[in-house]
Amino acid sequence: MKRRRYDIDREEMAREEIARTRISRGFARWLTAIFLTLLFAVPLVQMGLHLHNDQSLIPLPSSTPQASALPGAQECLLQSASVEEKNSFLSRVFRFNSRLIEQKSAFESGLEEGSFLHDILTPPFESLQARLLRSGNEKAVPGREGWLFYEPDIAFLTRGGTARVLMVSEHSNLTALPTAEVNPNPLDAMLRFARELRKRQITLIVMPVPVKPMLYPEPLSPPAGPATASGSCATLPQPFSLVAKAMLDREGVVLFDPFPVLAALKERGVPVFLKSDTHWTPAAMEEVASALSITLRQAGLAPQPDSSLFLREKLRVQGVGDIVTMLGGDTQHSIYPPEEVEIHPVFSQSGEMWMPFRGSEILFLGDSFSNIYSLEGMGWGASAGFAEQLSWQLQYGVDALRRNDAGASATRTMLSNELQRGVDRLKAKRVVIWSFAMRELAFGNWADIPMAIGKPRDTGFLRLAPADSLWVTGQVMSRSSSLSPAKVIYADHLMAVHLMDVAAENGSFAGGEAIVYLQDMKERKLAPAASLRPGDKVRLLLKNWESVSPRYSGFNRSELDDFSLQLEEPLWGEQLTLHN
Amino acid sequence: MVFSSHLFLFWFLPLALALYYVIKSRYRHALLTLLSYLFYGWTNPLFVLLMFLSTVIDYLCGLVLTDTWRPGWKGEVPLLPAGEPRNSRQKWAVTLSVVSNLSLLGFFKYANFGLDNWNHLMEALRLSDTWLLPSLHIVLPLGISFYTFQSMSYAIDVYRGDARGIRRFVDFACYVSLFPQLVAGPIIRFQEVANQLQFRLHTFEKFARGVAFFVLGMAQKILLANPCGKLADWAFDTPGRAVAEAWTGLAAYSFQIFFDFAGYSNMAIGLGLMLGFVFPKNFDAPYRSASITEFWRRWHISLSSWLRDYLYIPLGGNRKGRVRTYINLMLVMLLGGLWHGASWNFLIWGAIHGFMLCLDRIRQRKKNRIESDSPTWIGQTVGVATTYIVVLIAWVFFRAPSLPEALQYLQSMAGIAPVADSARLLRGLFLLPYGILSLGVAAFFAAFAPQAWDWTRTLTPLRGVILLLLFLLSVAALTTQSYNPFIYFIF
Repeated sequence: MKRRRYDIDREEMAREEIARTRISRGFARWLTAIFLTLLFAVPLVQMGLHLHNDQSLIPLPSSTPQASALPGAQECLLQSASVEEKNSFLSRVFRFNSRLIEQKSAFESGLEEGSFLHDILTPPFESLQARLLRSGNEKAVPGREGWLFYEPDIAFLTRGGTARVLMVSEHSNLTALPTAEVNPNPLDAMLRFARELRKRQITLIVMPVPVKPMLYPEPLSPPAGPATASGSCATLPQPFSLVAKAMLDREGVVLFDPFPVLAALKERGVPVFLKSDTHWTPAAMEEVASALSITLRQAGLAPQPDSSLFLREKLRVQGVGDIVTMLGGDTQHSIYPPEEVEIHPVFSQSGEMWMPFRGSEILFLGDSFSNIYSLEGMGWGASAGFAEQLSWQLQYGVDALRRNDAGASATRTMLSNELQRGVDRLKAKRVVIWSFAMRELAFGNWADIPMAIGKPRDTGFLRLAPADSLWVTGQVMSRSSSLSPAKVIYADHLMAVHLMDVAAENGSFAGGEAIVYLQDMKERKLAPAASLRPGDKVRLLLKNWESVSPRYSGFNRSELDDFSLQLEEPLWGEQLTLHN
Repeated sequence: MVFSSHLFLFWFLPLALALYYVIKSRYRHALLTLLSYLFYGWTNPLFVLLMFLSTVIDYLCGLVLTDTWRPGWKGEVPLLPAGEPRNSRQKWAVTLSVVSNLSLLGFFKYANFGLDNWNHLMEALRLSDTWLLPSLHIVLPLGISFYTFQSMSYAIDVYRGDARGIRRFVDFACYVSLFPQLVAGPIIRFQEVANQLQFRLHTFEKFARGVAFFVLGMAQKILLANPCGKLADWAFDTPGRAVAEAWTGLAAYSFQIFFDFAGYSNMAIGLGLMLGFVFPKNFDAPYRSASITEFWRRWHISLSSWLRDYLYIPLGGNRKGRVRTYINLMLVMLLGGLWHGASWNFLIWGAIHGFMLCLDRIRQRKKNRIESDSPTWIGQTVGVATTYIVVLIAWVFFRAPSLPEALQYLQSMAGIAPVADSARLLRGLFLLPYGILSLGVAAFFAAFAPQAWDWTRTLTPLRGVILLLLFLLSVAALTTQSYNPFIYFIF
């Protein structure tokens, strides 16, 4: 017999080893049975729960990203290809494959997040980890003495975020960066936006809001204190203004940097960030609003105050930090109790809650740092946010577009859509203040967004007057994506739906189309709208979007893929039921 | 699809096991093939076509090699006599198998690396732009390095006379695609499972031990590798890290990659046992090695033995003099490095290991001349510590995303890189109880805990309870972790 190679022995050794297993037949059966029971119990219980809740046996991919009933709606995937290339066999195969991958990803996510295991195991396990190990999760990092931090804020400072920003700042020719995450260059986006505004004699003020670990590194640092060159333990220097300010100056952009204001306030012993929330305290926010109003006045950009337009009241509110919610909510309350703060809601002389003033010379674009204390849904009171405080400081009405999350692009997109719809939100403006969380500099989407004004269109889409509401039926043609409650920072979310064959129940409108915003997530629970699929027939109550926008426009929302649909005037939908 | 995912654990695996044991045994390979294609295509359905192509080519090569390709051929596939000359058709068949597999691997894994380096060279030589070549938009199919090696080993084993060929296509497709070890190994050579494809036993004892392997592997991945990975990510992604954090982060990475890969291997072995297959050991406490030579006998054994038997020995091994031995060692380790990925970092990683293997040979040769006693415990400890440090430093090139970042990391370890103010945040994160516990437990298990093969040899009710607790803990942890694919998925 010819030699057997050395490695044949590996198989023989393994087989001998397995044959040497010491286990009684009875226990082997028990172990097998327990393991199989655990494996099989989960899908069986899950299917039972689904049947009990009148859902499909296996969760279907309802929150498919940008699902569409329109044939060829995915054509945009191959925008750069010619018509022939788009229709070639290979292209169609790749498109089909891409759709399949999207579908299976959505299916898998739905399966995981809709699992009862997720609901029953995650909160206690995270609570246990937080208590014993001071461990957070993918989004929340616990510091000492009850402080909580948002992981991307730490990543901004540690995991290369600031380095990328510095690289942006030093990138003199302002072309796209070599790194993929900052794409395109934030400075480039700011300067392009400023140039667009300058065509209409509008000055851009950029306000990057520092993130919490920059002001409060101590709860995350070793107990022994500072370990690095600067020696200071109070704050970490913020990276953006070091190099970029001069560049922005040259282009006439005012960089308003809240960092020194906040650092000085902290030195005076005033808390500038909430312990268990991503955002600043009302006192810090008001101090920054005050400093900004001074800057505006000094630059001659603030109109003369109109005697006493606005009043402020004192109110104490209690809230649970958004990072506590990210950590598992209710089970964490004993470790991270609700915090109480004093807010100052702003009212008009006639006692009405502050509202954005469209005729103002100042337009404020802001993210959750301006929505907190203003948007009731965030749980920290209403009418006392940054735009309100700025108005109060200036005693002048301020126009505002605010949306949670994605400060780099969300509010510019809102403005751009209005302009392209023919609604000139920049009319009579002298200043645009653009505020965003500083982490956006490293992780945000800094795409160039057009600011040209379009003409009002009449495309047959349903519109409603501000006070009107209408019960309609219609068919879902396409929808924007829903988010997973487990993966979002904010507890509420809106989605957009394109409805066809819209018919008013009172007979006033029939056969048209409508773009409708719906709430698909409320307090981290998916609403029925989240499970809508193209082709579904629905019945719902429609309202004018502007009339509800003070309550809902600040929520994070997804838009339809088709850009032309984004330019239609949206409506607000509620009391949705399936009408199949 | 990932083993440590809700979808696999609670939907795919129960379905696969139920169908496997319900169906008649003669249809099991067809079923396993279908399930494996579903498992593999889950990430990207188009990848399945590529694997199918590789399978068909090697199957046909096998038929030609054994001269059983004619329709209607019946009987036992002959074992080619080892060491005897082959005819030209057989030589063509084995060449086609090797060339087609290496071409697949070369195109999908190395084409852009080659193009980039060519373009860099042209730019360095200041030649005109007409010399520059455009990069290709190539997506690396998962596990291609593993299944091409497996597939290739079939033709080579049959050619060498180390294994009989397979006549039924579905048996061969089952061997190539077998889902327990398809995506990240261990690399199962054909000769290792050839007999098992013909016949294998299914017993409760085997199944129970498979459960034990699977649960231990899952715990290694979810409870040890993932937390260590978090620490390693922090360290590697923070440019201004201090010395202590750089070393701690690297140690965390060494535990992450070990428990990640060893965990996957144990899960694969466990799944194999549940389906009646016995796969050989792939890890044997590698961080307890007292030399690099020993390290490679304990780390990713299926790859190192594949490289030795299909590359090092055919190159002449140590039979052609000292210099050729060193050249062969370097060559094998360089190619081994490149097998992991198309970048200079992996080449350097391979070069470090190759160089250390050569040094080890020289040291061993001198030592053999002077003394033949077994080392003292001090010598053993120094050997283990030195080997671990060398392996650790080499991991920098393995983990860093680029060569400049690897060099920057080494500078941080040497204390000659500038330290950013934000580095103290990193220290704070490392000093969280979570960080300390993760590293401590991982270090203990890597250094002292019994190996899965040893621990599962005797399964008592107490160990059953431990396994049950580990399973529940892993599942609970799994629900709190986001998508965490195995590191070797990308190789």
